[in-house]
Amino acid sequence: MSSSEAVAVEIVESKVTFRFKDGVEYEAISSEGETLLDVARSNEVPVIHQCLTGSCASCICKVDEGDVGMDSDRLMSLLPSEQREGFRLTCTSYAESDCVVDLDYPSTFSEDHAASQSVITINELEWVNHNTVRIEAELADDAEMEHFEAGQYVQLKVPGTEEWRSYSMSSTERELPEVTFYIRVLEEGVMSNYLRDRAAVGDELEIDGPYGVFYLREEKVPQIMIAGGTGLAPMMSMIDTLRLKNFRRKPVILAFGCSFEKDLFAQDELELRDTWMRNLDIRTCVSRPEGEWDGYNCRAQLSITQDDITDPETVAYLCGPPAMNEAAREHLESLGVKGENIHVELFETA
Amino acid sequence: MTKFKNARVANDKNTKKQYQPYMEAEWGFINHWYPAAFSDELPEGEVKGIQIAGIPIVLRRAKGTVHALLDQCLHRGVRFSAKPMCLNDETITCWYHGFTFNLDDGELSTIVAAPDDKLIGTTGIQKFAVEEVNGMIFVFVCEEDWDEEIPPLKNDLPIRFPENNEKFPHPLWPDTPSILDEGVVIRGMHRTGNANWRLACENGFDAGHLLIHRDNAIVQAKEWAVPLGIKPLDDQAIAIIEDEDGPQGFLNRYFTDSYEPILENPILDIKAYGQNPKYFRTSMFMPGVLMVENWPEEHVVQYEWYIPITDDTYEYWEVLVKKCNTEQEKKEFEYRFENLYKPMCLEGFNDCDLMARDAMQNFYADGTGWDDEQLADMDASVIVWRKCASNFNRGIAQPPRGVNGSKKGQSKDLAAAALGDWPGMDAYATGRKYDKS
Repeated sequence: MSSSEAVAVEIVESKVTFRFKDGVEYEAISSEGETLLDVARSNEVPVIHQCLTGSCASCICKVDEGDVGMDSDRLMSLLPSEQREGFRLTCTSYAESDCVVDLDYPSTFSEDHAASQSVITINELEWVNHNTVRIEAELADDAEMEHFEAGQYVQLKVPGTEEWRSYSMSSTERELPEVTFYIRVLEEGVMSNYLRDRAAVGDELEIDGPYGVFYLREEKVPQIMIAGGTGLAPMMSMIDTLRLKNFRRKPVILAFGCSFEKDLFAQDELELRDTWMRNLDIRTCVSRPEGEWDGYNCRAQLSITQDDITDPETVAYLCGPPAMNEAAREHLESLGVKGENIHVELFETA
Repeated sequence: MTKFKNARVANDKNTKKQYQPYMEAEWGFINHWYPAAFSDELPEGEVKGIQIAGIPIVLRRAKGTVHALLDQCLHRGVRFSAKPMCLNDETITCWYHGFTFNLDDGELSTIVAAPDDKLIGTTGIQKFAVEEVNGMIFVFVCEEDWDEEIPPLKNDLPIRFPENNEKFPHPLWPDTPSILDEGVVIRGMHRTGNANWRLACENGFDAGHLLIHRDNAIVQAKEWAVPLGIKPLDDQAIAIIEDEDGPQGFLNRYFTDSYEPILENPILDIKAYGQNPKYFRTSMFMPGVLMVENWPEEHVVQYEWYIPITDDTYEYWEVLVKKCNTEQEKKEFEYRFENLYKPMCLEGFNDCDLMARDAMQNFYADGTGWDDEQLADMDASVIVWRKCASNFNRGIAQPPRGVNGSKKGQSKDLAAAALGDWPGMDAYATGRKYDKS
């Protein structure tokens, strides 16, 4: 190798600025080949992350300045619309120039919501429709999980396997040490098989959490929640949290959608909340009703209309299958909801 | 005993779910009007500290007007009422470091020894709306960020008459007087009970609890025919009152075909005493106001409040209201109040209620009682109240921080217990005056 050739080898370094919701900024240098998350981790920047493989979406950020490329092969949980708007998963993206990325949570979030491991014991196990199980469980006495944000999830280890699956709590922090989940049971899947074949009251499951940056932002603006299927669970936690915080003076719309009537669940729970909160408007949507149906006959997001957007700062939470999340985001943005005020939870069933 | 284990049907987990907000309201409901003091407890220039739903409130009367501010200095958190200092008619000054706040808006207007401090004019303490009517001072106890129009006081008081005579008739006592009526005479008292406020509320209208009054002196002396209990018979027994712009609660249709007074139990060979019929009617309204019509004498009404101070103390208010048409009538009523009804009813008779509520506290204090209680038919109105309260409240008081009762078992409580004082004894009348001697 001649000396002239050596000079031609460029060492690509970029300055990455991580900007948190509380205004705190961290600057770090990214070398070629390093993901943004690598940069954050090696410089102790408190970016939330969990799976490291692009599937959990915890490590999401939004590019404010500069170019950030993505490893599209590994991209699993970012919506195409999110991608277009500049959202990136830090674990699968790379600084291609000096850049500024925004994290939609305060810099203290990871410290305040440290995950811990424990065990839960199932107290109640109830089939709430043909394919959904409601589990009420109690954390072990020595569990460290004393806090979580409404909307966050935990991982549960499927008994008899080494597999972990993620589920959002439908209960609130106030109910700890009791936690409640709604879990969809598929024809095949380790958790599904367990729930269908073996699960029983008294079973112990390992739990790890809380995780996620899909959580209730307590801004005093109208709230829209769009849930598909068991995507209702985090919304129930958020609604109860809003209720307990006496959030009564701005509208809260919950659009809960399923394909068929038989897929609905938790209707009695929702009705009670409808009675307790005068500002809560629950829209139960069935897109393919089989019999007479007097609720909304459409996909959940389509129950939201222009009349519902009364405040430019309206905040929206989406939790459903990727296609729903995608369509709901586009729909809300077309109605004038700001992209940065739309929070999306990846939804997977297993 | 095991065969009875699963007999809990009247109040199972699904029923309890229906009044979850009520169960969450350990510290009471917020964004409601509550009585704070009788007018004569707060003469001109006087300062008084109270606590409602975990919020310390200081009352001060200046130039006739009563003001209510948060009773907690923003500087180091001491209560102004602990050692009242008012250097003019427009302000209240913290006795500790001289932080001085406007009575009308709560703003920090100056600091005694630091008139140039940069904080001045930039911050302040919460101010509460006050209404004074017929000798009672009411405060609208709200969240700090309350930004709506304040609902009228009448919405947080029982229904009024004659406007409700048709809807809720009773030929024996039409036109039950109201706190808000012109020309009424109000006499009453308040004191601290050592139980959660909800236990007190539920005792107030509990149709089955008349047994505890069986041996009361006034009942014996007047030979009142007070039943052993009153049993609801049909779904007309309880009327829900839920006007959007008005009082919300329920009314027990006592002494109609919907309720059966129980006068004897042959198994135990026990009978109600008394020959003189005693007709009355109870109803309950948000945020926890009881109305006992035609009690303790004809055409008089007794109102009661059970105002949460902490989650284990409440201020028990009892007032009698009578419409007096002449000065002579007023004088005679006041005489009977002082010499008969106060000692024999508000104290004697209702002392039994106070005792019963305190007696329930241990079972409910750690939360298990709400799950383990076994309610029965006689408790229909208890369940109705819990649901009403869940639906009609304007907000649940958050467990407070940094105030009396937010931390249990402190040295001051233990010291009080050692001296034979209940922990709640000075909770309400805080701010015991600093004794200059």
